[in-house]
Amino acid sequence: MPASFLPSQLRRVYYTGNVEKKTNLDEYLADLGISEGGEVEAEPAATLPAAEGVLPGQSPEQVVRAFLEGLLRRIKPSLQLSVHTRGDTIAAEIEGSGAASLIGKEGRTLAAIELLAYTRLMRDCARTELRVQVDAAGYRRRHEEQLAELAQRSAVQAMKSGEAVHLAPQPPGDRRIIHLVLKESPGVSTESEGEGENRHVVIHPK
Amino acid sequence: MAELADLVEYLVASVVDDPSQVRVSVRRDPELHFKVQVAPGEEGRVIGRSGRVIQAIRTVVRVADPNHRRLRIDLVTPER
Repeated sequence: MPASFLPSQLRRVYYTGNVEKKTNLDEYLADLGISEGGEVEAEPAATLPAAEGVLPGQSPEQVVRAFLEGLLRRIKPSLQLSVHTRGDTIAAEIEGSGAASLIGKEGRTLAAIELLAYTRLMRDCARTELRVQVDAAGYRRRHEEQLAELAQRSAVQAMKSGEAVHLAPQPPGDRRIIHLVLKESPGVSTESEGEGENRHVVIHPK
Repeated sequence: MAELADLVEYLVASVVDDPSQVRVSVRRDPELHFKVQVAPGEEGRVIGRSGRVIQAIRTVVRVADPNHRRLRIDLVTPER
């Protein structure tokens, strides 16, 4: 990733509808969370034109909650929604009978809902350091537990063998979890290698 | 079907700067065919980088359709 690829440029690229291949935004954000998290400053929201229909001063959590409430009202009004802010992550959980229908194959429907919620959030708040995570019927939580186990197991393997362990290619959010789980681990370091669909985590023994 | 058109309108209105100019029409031909119109210059917002936003809208609408029909979403340019 070129170091000059700043958030302000990112947003401009994002909104022009330019369809040529760019650095994946999620990847960018995921990597930010690991290595450059504290160094990125969000553009002050005041410099952006106010979007119509948005109350000034709405918190990011309120924006995400409002978006998801509107969505659920239209597709499954019986489901329950809870939204919390944890650090830079706005985490939403959808529960109730039939909530699992919002997961999709390998969480693709959740990813679509997350992208739309994030797009709405950027329109209304323009705080690029934020992430949006949407879970339904505990899918993400279980998935994260499995990823954490995989990370720990692979770290042990790397330390025992003294050789780098290459994990299978994963989407940005999954790689991010592996990095985070092993961040404080004294015996190993992690990095992502490969491009596009082939990008994967490599765990190096120290 | 009217509910699905409302959903499409809601999602599109959530990503553009001027939600008041969003228009959605729908017909069966035989797949579900939505025509979406937004303020001039805002088409890119609905499409997103590499088409990710429009693809996400399609994914969510498909889940909401109880019959899981094939669906098509087109952006139409208003006549001047």
